[in-house]
Amino acid sequence: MPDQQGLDFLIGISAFASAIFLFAASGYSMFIRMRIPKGKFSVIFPYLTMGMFLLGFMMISYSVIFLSGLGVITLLTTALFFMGTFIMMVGAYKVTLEFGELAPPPPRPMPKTKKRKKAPASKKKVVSPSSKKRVKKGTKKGKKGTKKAKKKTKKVVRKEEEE
Amino acid sequence: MDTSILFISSIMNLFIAGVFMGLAYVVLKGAEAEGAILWMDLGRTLLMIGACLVAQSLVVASVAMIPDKAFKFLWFVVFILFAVTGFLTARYCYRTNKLLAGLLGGGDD
Repeated sequence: MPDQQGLDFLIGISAFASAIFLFAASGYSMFIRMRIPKGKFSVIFPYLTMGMFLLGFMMISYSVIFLSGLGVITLLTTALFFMGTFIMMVGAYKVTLEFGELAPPPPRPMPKTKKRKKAPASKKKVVSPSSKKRVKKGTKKGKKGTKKAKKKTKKVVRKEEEE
Repeated sequence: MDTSILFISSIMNLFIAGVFMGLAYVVLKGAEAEGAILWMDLGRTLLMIGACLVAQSLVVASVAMIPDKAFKFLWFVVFILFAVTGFLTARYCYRTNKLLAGLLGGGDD
């Protein structure tokens, strides 16, 4: 029957056209996934890519079925439909999980004021090597040096007196 | 073709498509509550995709009920709906790209 064949051809071509649309959408979503930085808004794109790809593949199988006049083979198309839809469903579910993270956290109630314990002071001061270099004359280091000199002179004076 | 297999598969399709539409509705409502423009757009897109899937499953379910010629015409409608689904997804991607390029600064559309 030529009329039926013409209708089948039309359906097959429309299925092929919709498959092209779905593959284009899949490719575009993959491109966007690679382009935008990873974050909350990029959650859906991998799932959308995969789902659209599977639906496009389903449409290809439908177009082959109608153009070749095989009749509708339900198993392959139904399986592809399930997989595509399920994957996109998972993506939608992941988006719903992200909603809580978008909102700013609720303000915490102010805790009762307590006296802070002072941190135990460290016994030794850590002196950086740069600060050691900056020590000027007349500081403790310099004074220590003068005390030694005084002791030496005292010893010398005592020796002289003994002699 | 075996109509009973088609009917069972279409009922399962309908169930999955219904769940998908429900999730899409949750996404849309959540996005409206949060005020996130991108996800509102995503919710609308998912809702339309869900509508396409429901339409497809309904068409497959009505194999035995309607004459062959009308059934094939319905297939044509369903395939057009799937083309619309692909178009909507591509539109969502385009809008996301445009908005994020504006937010992040630089970049072309």
